[in-house]
Amino acid sequence: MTTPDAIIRVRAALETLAGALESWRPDDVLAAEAQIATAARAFSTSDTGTPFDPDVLRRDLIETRALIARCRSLGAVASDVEAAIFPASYGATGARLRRVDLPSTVAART
Amino acid sequence: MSGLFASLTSASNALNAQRAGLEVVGQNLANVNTVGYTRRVVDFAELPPADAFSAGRGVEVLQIRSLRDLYIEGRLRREQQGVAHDTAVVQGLSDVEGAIGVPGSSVDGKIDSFFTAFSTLANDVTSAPARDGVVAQGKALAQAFNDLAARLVESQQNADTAIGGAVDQLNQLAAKVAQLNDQIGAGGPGLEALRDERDVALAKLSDLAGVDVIQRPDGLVDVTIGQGHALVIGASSFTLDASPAAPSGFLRLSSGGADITSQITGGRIGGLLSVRDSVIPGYQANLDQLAFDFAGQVNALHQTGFDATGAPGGNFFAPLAGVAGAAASLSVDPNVAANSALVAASGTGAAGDNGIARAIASLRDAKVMAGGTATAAGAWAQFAYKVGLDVSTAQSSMQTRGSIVQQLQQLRDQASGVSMDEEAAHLMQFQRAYEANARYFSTIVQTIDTLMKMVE
Repeated sequence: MTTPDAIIRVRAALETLAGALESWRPDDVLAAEAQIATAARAFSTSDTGTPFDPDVLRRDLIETRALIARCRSLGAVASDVEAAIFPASYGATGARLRRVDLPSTVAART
Repeated sequence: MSGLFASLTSASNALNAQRAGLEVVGQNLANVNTVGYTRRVVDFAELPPADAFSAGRGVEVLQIRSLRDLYIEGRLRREQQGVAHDTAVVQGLSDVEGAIGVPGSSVDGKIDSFFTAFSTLANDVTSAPARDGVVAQGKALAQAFNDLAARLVESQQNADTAIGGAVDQLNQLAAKVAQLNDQIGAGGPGLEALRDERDVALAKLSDLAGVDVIQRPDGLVDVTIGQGHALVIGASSFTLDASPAAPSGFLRLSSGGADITSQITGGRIGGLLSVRDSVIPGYQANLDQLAFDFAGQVNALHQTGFDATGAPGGNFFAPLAGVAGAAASLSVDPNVAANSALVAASGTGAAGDNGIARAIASLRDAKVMAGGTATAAGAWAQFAYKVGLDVSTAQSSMQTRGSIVQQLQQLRDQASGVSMDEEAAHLMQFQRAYEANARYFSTIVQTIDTLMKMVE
């Protein structure tokens, strides 16, 4: 796959993930994983030998970075909220863990 | 959609939507202990792409709605009416039960002492102190009947006063429901909070009286009382009037000029009306019958005897006009009360004869009350037993209905209440799902960095 095509796929996958994160629906977020995994693999192994317009590629890369930053911000909010609200969290086995130090505020990430 | 500007617009929509989601979670958690709060959920919808080459324009919030179960709410209101009714009855009856007192120290004790005094007189028929004792015990017995009759009237008056207070509350709540209907009809952002507030007001209304709540298609509710008399119609409320009515002076409840007192059978007001107009009058009738029969039996024997001077006997108790009011007006005949020599103990007129004193003393064991089926003590025991049974039945009903209300509340909380665990699980699910995706971010970022070096 050519690099420009791979970028389009990555951006589409990230847009889907952002949409799922926005929806506040865990099932939609989980469903986005397969698309992200495939797009990331295709992007890292894309054919960089194909001629491309450097300005267009630079712009696409910047926008892709912005998309990742957006997804990270959206994803991080839930953990901040949970840390602020609940005195305990759950371990990997589902058992409740006591949280020692609670943040008093939710960090702004947007 | 493509381009940085479009991405930012999409992000803006997304952040607004997510903020709504977070606000709902926060609202649910903040109100976990708020009475009447129903859990909110957000309905999202995808904004479709502007063209075939973009993923979409993000997301929008369609609505924030409350999880309500109208059937459970309706059932709950009906059962709460029942609990409030039974509670009022139990409170009213407890009052009466307290007035009746413990066996042996109430009217029954005075009846026993009265017969004992006649036995004492029969043993020493010429004794002036024994005659005085009969008169004194007669007065004490009459006073016991008078006191109990007064306590029953007092209990009715207490119920009547409580009805007046409850009607005031009912009118205030009806006005509040109408006002909330008006606000709900106008729409706006705080609609669900207004509906919660209205539900709380409706629950309180149901506690007070047997009201029917009718859900309208426009989201407003109408409330009727009794046999369909309007209490709230949309944004208008109609006052339930409570005014004293002859001959009792007790409050009569009317709606639009129509007397609906007997139509209100549910809720606290229904329970209080039942105590005031049905239960206590029943006890009063029993007590009056007992006093009337007792005085009649004693007088009938007394009139056949002769007093200490050899003159024919008159009434021992003052003649009663009828059964109604007998307990309240029972008294020893004024002449006998003033002069114990007028007690007719003799059956023949001879100075030492004790025939009538013995006959009256023997009434203790004679089944001459309640249509010849019970002794005086037995008739009293039946009366006291009936009150105790009524209290016990009302308590049992109250407990059963209380259990049903608890069960329905639990059911409602499952549907509408806030579960901390559910909210926590939702957050955890969200985080884990995000982390599953975030694993690929580093691969993408590394590739971007590599490619960036090629174009810089």
